[in-house]
Amino acid sequence: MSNVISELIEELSRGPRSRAVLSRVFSVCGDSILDLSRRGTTIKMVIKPGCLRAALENIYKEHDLYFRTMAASDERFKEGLTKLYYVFGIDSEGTNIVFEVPVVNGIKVDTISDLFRASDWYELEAHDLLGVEFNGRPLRRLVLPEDWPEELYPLRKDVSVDDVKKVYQPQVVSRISELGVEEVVRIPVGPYHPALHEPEYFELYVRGEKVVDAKYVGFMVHRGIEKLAESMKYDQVPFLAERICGICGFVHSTSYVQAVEDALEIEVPERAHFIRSIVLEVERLHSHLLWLGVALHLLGYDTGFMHAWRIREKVMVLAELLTGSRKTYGIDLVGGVKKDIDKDKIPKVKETLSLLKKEFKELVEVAISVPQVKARLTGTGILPRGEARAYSLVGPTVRGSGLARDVRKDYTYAAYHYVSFKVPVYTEGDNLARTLVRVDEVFESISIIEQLIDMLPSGPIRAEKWEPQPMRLGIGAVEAPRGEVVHVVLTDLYGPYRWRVRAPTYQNLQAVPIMLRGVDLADAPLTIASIDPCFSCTDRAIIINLRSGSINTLPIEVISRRVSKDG
Amino acid sequence: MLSFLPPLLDGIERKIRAKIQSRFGPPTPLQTWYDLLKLSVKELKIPLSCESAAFLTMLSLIVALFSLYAVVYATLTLTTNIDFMVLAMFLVLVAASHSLSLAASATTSNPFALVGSYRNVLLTILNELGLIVGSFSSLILGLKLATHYSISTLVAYLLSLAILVVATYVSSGRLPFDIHEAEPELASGTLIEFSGKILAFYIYSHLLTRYVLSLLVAIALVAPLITFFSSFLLVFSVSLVFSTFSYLAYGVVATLLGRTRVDIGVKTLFTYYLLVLIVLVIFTWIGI
Repeated sequence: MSNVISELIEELSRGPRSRAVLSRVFSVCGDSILDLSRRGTTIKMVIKPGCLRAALENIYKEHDLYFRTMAASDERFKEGLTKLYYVFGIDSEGTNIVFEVPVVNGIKVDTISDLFRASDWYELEAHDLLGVEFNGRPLRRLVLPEDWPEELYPLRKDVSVDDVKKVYQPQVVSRISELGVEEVVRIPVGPYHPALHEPEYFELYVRGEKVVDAKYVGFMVHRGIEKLAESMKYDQVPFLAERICGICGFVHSTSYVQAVEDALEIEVPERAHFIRSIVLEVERLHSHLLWLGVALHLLGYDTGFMHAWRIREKVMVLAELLTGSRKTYGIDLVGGVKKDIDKDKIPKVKETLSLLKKEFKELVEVAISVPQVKARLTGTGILPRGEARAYSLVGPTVRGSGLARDVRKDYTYAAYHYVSFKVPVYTEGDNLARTLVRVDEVFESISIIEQLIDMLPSGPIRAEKWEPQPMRLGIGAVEAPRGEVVHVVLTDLYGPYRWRVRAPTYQNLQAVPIMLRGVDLADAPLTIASIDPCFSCTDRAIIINLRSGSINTLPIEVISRRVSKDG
Repeated sequence: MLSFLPPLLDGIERKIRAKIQSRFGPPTPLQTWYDLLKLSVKELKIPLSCESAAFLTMLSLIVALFSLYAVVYATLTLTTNIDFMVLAMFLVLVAASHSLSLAASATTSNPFALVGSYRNVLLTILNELGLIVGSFSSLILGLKLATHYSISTLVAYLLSLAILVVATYVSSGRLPFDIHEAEPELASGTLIEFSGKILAFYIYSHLLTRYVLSLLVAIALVAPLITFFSSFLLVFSVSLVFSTFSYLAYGVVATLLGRTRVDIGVKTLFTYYLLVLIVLVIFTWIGI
């Protein structure tokens, strides 16, 4: 390696870990690296597609390097090619390493799904939505329905939302007609319904009451939010982002605005950072209390469920006091926030937090000691630390398996560097460990809000002016209640050119089948719920023809009619 | 009057449960009756492949009603000598009611109902033994205690009562032993195929069985005191009070617990019965 390159690496790296990663990549790829730059905590490397795999083979065993997200972007009308942005994180340094891979049409990219298992869905999604081809792996539909037209890639810039509406109509209605069952009532219940009132479909293969294997079929309803945002202005998108999730919407809008602020280097006033952090912690509080209530309900302990939600109501009132809304606050804007926290609200906030802490402590002491709750949480749904690392898992799921991964500490943002807090970690990897992580986090969140309220600085709440610039890459990451949310934004003059949203469930779901193996059927719903998953909209069922091996996806009511016809 | 009581007690139990859970609960203790009435005026819908389940549910209801009358007869005829024939008939009727309910859910084609009923089979087989041993021994020893008091009889009676209380609690299908229904796990397991009138009959039959079991515990509690009562009517009245108390006490206990898993439930129950029996044997062996 030449001295020039060594000096460049020395200059751009943020510590020994990133230095080691860059050196290794340069030693393998050399001339295949087209550009290397750094902005803030993000080091970006433009690398030829042919060398990506070799580079990652060389670094994938690197300690604390993990796969955070991958965004594919159609830039044919800008630069005549499609680009892939692989984002890796080095926790101990809080560094993002982005591999920008320009892909000329027709060129295949080598898969990295065997090296970084979490990248499996990202590659499938890039193939599904943008037509990117990958070598060395089978490609199948992931996000789009099976009857989606071939060669129609909805995230390409030459495909508009109107085109999609014209070209594609769901075929299920005609399928029902073919089967002669027009008079159907759609019942939103899957063949297996583990009581999470969201669309999910798990095939559980059981021997007696023991689950021997599990398969997840997801992406029931793809809402096209990323595509929709491409036709919106910068400050319209936070309202759309907040509607990604009904529980942690503010996390998404904050991630988005942080990504834009990172790309355009916008200085956000301190007070706005504090307000964002306070609201983010309020969101964590109500989310964890909601989850705890649901978990206790799944275990049949409805008294705990009722009390968890009763206590949660105080948090909802607190959110309304601070933002004007119980949910979907709508206060995030690029460069700051829309709504301030008045001084006269602070005593009420403190009083509510104090009461919340007392009541939550009482609830947890009782709930966790209920014999059935304890027995069914302990030793069930085990996720080993190695698997958690291999799948690049996030949030309480990974912290329950012994890895202290938390964006608030590792890639600190907003006002978190002003406060002192612990990252709860348990090593057992079972449902109890994940529960206790969330329980501890409630106390930490209360403490964080108390500290932030005491230190709330004066000043403006929004940057006065900022200028958009085209084709700048920004990354925004927020520690949501379920784990880190990562938004990648490529800017344009009026709004985002490309916006990639990665929710924590996207990362964590892939590990659920591992957690389910060997558990009792009765504990499967709790194990699925233990990652606090977030799905969207409607259930489907599948028929597997054992003779022909064919798989058809049909509404449940069609199946029930068929069964009754067949007697 | 007795046929009216179980849904009313269920309504009171729901109010108490709501109070413990900081909720308002149903607007009136008669709510369960209103629910049953509402269900029973809905159209009759029998799901395909569920005809036998509907028939078995009706049979289960009839048997539950008979078991109620049998236990009332047992109470009214309770003297210092027990009529084993009446008690045996009563236990057969209770077991038949359980078996018919199980058969009703096992004959549907719904996988949730099937998983639920198979879970319940394990628990029921083990528990019916506890129910037979507990009810016979507690009644015999209770009546013996009424005429010949001794420490050894009292200890044996209390141990038998402990078996009976647990056996009737498990039979009542309350938490943590409602694993066959397990709404969050199995989408209400055994109940999933029933609606309208059939569901109303199923629930009513279930509540009747619950109340019958409470009456059985009440008789076992009254037995040692039988000599204090001058008339059968008084015995019956006291039994009613005790049965109401035990019904509601079971409801309160259920509110404080979560749901067990079938393997843990069976293991816990087996260990409990075994321990009580071992204690009984040890007491007999050392001559207490």
